[in-house]
Amino acid sequence: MKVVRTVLGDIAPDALGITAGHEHLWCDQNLCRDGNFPRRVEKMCLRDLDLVVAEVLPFHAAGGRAIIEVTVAGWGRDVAVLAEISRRAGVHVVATAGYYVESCLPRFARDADIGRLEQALVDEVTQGADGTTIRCGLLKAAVSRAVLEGVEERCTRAVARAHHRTGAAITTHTSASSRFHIPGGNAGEQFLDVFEAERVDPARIIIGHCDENADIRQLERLARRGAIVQFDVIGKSHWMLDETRADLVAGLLDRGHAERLLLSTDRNRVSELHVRGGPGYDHVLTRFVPLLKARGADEATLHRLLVDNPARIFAMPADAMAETNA
Amino acid sequence: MLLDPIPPVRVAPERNAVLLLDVQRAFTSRCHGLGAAQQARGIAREFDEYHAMVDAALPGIARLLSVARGCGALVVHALLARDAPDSPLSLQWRAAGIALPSASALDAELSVPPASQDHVFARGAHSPFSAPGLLPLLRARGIRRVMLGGMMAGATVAPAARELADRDFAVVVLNDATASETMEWHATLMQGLLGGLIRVQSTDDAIEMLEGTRT
Repeated sequence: MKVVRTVLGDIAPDALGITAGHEHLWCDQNLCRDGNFPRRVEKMCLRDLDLVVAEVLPFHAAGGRAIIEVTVAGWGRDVAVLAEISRRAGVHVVATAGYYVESCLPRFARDADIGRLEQALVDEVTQGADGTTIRCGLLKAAVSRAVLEGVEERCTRAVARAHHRTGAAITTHTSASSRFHIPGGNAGEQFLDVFEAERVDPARIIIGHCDENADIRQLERLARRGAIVQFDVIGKSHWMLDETRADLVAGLLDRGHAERLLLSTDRNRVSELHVRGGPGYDHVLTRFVPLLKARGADEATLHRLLVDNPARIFAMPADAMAETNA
Repeated sequence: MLLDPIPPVRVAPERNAVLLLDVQRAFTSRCHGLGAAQQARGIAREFDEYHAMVDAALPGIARLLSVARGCGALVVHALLARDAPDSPLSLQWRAAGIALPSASALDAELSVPPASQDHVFARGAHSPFSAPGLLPLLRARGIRRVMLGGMMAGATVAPAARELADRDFAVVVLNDATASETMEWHATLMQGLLGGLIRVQSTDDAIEMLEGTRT
């Protein structure tokens, strides 16, 4: 039996509904171990519960039913707050266990061996996170440089081994400031090399941030290796126009990769929310889906991208879980 | 009238040069060079505004060249080539993944028809001075002012304007004879160039300067 592990408990995958695969609801990069991170852009920070709930409501009104929250320990994840948001906004929320870039790792992680890094993740998926019994339903690895190396590689291997023990899917942060130095525009293939060496099925790996500096040839290589290609900064026009993203998604659909696509917006700053005139969490549903329809995506295809794929990808075996949520 | 109008000062055309950077198929065509690379990546739409600016620039460049040649101004084309004899292809161009022409086939590469008296330099780096013959030519001809246009305004034209000014040339950047990734960025870039020896004017302004009807 498979379930999706949300902050309010386990649910059947087909109860997930329309899902945003990569968002932040509660985060604060002011808490990163390196106080100067990030150096050149506004820190990601969402710390207003009422505001976030109000911003999620338009997502729900547009048909959205689930948000995958990818903040991890080290920069403000709080699964109890996520549970409160889930209750108040009426959407499922999946919390994430994992390791973000080196500058934001939890204090213990920098010098920990892979086994300790792995056990911390397994505990968050099977026992509970942030001092609660609320469990995470996804694993995450990240890279901050052009090469996956050092502590970030150790964390990635720990994520792979935690995946084997829990069955939770893996999402990846593939870019940061090094994106223009990486052939193809993101480190997706480097992640796949490490995960495949750790015997992880690529179908359980989400390559994130594929739409920041895209090259459709690389995206197709990722899909052909079996990984999930995630367009998750939709609406961020400083990276790419949504029209271009829609062209790329349509191109991947034409090449037969509908089962390998996820969509999301990666909201992580108040300036990106409706309250400040930003596109908000509902942008994919209200603005991007029409662009896909204009390029020939039919209802069945959209259902696959927004409902079927998330239900399959974020499902994990129920029998891998030691406890149930309180 | 409180003040007499400032009389037009005719520039000496023979002390002026029109320098065009990369007005060549690799940077003006959607099917070659930069355009082909973006199509292969699936992101050609990102360059819609760039190509709109290119399409708008080319007729004005052709008119300017006609006037410049007619009044004796120097016309110089500096083009990127993968095998320029005296200017090897830089590492960043080799890594860019953009197909560049051979230096032996530059006449077919020019996006505005060349004339016999024009000078054509091939180079392998952004800087026009990476073509070693350019600066001696400008000095030998006694050039005081360079009217500068070309593609990829941010990567090539803007730094070239600074380099020319550093070599004591007056520079007129032709804001409608260049192209940037977006019109918003183009406006910001042009505004940022103003000052010192660098002016930013239109192609029509430059034509009037060469014809003696504009200071």
